[in-house]
Amino acid sequence: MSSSTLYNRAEALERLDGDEELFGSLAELFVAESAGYCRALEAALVAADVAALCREAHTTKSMLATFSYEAGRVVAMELERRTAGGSLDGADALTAQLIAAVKVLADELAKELA
Amino acid sequence: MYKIAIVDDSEINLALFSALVVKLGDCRPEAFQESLKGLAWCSKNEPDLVIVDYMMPEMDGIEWIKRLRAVAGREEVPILMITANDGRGVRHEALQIGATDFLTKPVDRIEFSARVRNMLNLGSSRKKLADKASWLAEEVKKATAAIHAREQELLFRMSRAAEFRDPETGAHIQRMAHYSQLIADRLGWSAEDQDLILRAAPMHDIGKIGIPDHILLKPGALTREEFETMKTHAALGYELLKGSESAILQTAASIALSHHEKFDGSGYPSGLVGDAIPLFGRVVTVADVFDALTSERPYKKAWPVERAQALLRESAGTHFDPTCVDAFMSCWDDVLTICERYQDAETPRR
Repeated sequence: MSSSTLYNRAEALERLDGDEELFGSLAELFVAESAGYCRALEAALVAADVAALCREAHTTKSMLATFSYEAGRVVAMELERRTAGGSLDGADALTAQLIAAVKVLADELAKELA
Repeated sequence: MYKIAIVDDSEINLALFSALVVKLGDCRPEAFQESLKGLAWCSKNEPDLVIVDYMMPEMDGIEWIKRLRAVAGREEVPILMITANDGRGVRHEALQIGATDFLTKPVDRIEFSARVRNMLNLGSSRKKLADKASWLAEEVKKATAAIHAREQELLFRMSRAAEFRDPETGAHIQRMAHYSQLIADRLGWSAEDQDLILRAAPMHDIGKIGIPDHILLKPGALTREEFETMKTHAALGYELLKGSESAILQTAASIALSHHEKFDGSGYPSGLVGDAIPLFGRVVTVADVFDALTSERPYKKAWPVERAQALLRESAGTHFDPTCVDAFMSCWDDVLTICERYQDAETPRR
């Protein structure tokens, strides 16, 4: 397997006790589901549904953390923090950043799986 | 094989937790992406452990746990809540409504395995304790039943001992006890009290053990002096039966002492009037006198039941408590059935 600079593969793998097969299965699922995460984030933003956006940010944060993608996790955490307070201020930009992060990680994982 | 329910809206988390559960070796995961389906499954089946996410779209983990805890039999199921560094408030609330432990995302396999194993062990210990408590309760029940059976046997043998010396027959004892129960039923007594009078009534004349044979077995009428001696059987029976912790013996003692009292105060041994006579005694008096009248004795023939019935009516309010007589009359068909059922072999009745 390649050593990605985007996310901390070694750390993510260590949490799974070095189980490459399990890591591969989770990566496959993430690649398959990533478009859905992005759609859910966009839909919540368009609908100005602050609670839904907060929930989707939380879910995405957890996914990105599973792969130790710290930069993406920080964006998701910030979006969750702001929306948890009921505010959509700055949510446009943060959502766009988060969607981009999800896509980047999905592309990276897809390359590794190929 | 332990059953572990996993409830999480994220497919990746479900896959991850399911895989980690399978790796434990003796556990089978039941994964639910929809929280309501997970709740329904956990209500129908009994999981050994539940792993539930905090943030879910249909309802959050707090509400989910609250609903599961409300299901009968799911009050103690260990619940591991998965959180993503949520604040202390969420954790406190979760603990208050019944979460057993927490795990923070991203989940570490070693920590996950240890936490799950500990919780399964906790659940097993709890079940073993509950099973032991249940086993103990069953043993106590059996021991109590054995004591109860021995008590019944002793009472039966005491009644038999009295019968050996009494010209009255075993069938009389059976009939008057069942008549007493019939009256108690018509008076609206509880099933327990009806059973009590059924078992206690047979000992009403046990004091006759202390009456000399020449009086007890005398075929003709008793002299005044002899009758005074005979009357002591009520107090003798009471002395014999009193002071026991057994509800049956306590009741039997009360009946023995009061079954010759009369409603108008002309009875013995205390000349009690009306409600001052214990109700058990008032009930047994009706049953005992009716059966004595309709039974053949060495010194008299059996009365036809209609004649005995008429005497009871006439004596309601004087000899008998009228309420007890009314109750007795109101189940006349049952009275006749009992009269037929418990017959002496050589003394055809009616």
